[in-house]
Amino acid sequence: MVDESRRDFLKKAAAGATAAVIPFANVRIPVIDVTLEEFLQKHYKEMSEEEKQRVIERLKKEYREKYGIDATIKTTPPKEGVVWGYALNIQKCIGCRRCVYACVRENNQSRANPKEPWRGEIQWIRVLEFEKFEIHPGEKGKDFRTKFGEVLAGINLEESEHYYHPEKVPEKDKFYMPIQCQQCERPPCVKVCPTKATWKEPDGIIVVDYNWCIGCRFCIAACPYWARRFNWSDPYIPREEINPKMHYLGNRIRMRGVVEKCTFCIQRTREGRYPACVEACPVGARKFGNLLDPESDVRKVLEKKRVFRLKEELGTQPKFFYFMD
Amino acid sequence: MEAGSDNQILQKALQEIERMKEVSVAKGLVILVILLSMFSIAHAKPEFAEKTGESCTVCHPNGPPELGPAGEYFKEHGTLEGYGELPQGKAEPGGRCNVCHAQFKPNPVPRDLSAAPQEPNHRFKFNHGGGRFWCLTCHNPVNRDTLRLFNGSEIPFEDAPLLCSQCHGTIYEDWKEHIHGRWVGNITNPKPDVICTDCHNPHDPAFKPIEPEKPPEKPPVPWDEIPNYPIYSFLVLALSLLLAVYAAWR
Repeated sequence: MVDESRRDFLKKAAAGATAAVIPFANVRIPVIDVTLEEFLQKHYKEMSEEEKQRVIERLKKEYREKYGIDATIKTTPPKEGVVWGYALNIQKCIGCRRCVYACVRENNQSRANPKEPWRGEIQWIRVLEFEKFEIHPGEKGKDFRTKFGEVLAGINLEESEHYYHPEKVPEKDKFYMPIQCQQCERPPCVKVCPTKATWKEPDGIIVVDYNWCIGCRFCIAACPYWARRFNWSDPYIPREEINPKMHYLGNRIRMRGVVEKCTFCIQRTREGRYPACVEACPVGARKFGNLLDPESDVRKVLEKKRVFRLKEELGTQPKFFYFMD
Repeated sequence: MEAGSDNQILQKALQEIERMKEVSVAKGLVILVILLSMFSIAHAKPEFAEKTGESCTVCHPNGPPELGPAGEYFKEHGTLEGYGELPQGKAEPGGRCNVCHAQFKPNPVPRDLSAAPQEPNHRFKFNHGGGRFWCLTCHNPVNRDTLRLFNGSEIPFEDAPLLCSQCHGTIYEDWKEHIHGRWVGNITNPKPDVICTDCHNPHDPAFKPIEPEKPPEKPPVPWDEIPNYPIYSFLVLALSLLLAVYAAWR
């Protein structure tokens, strides 16, 4: 009884404190330069619908002031009975990077600033280029040995090249492998996050609440797939290139000092549309669908094709599959 | 008297003939003028021929006023450039081939069509089947507005996947399962009205290499940014070594 009333009191006190803050919501705290409201904002999973709406109104106002755009920020929840999966035909990929830039445009990623191009350019998809070569077991330099034992076939990620820029792709005797967030079923990045700012949604997408990210970059260190990016500076996005259709957990414009990643275009897929990279691929190498639906594209691929997952031995159980014809 | 009257009649007749001659000359002149004017009308727009560099029959296979497929292409695009290079599948639907081909006897002998006198619409590079194919492998020799399967059945151009599946069976199966091909729009109800010939040119089906988008920016490396970086790093190293030696000696 005593505990109950105490809990009640604490709850009421907390609610009262939040209510008391409202008149001073727009007061900026010096040094860290955020408003009081933003500073006291709850974790996304703990917010009520009303509180979410208030946060969205605040973000809309902020974007209007800062970028001069009228954005729509959604909080569409996941659908029941849906777990998204991805399949990529590694044999078809020609390394043209159309997916990379479709992703950049769709997800409001920071562009290369013409003044300092290396500062703050962010791309969630990285296309690796590999040399094709024969494997001769036992011959020095032509076989693979890893600490997981003798592997007589496979790919050597260390020898890939991602700055390749020939006149035309695909080049002879090369193959290409795009990597992005693999949306692991057992994500190491979620495990290490000290503020629980990143988590796995019921539809299998790993998301980040950018307002809760403290920028410690543990997740970047933990991710074996090089899938996460850090905003080292304020994002540079030309106003006319901003995509105004946003999702709170997805492509809303990030701030300096937070980590971001591929969300399978959460703002599209939760509305039932294909991710931007799937639609952009000129050779149709990218397939997307519901892993729980036996009729979906991805399940058909899993049934019919030879499939592998990247770094499967780590036990992260990616929901991103590479396949071959 | 009779002879005189005869003479007069003869002279009158001769005069009449002379007049008629003049009249007929005038008539002939008028006809000639009309003909000339018609001739000039026929050449009223020789600029088309000048622009295309082709003979009249290219655009008018069945005589002047009526336009053939090439003529309609010219009307639409203002040039015949690229006319023969179009993928001749769904993009250039059937129904117009018979405009010309109804007149020709099918010739199954493989030959160089680019040199054919009045056919700019066959000037594409044929690169399918490794030299074992000819037009009539897929096109129906009897009715050019349709395709023909190996078993002899006639199918419309829209059913091209059936024809392709005769050789590319596994890919056809994949296409039916949405594993092969690109599908856009709604995930549960994607746009399925894309057939083989919408992406692949049936006469040259392999995709051509394309230009890649620009690579990501390389992060700055100290030896690019700082001049004389190796000298500095050597100095720092030497200094720290000296310090270490000094500390050990102490």
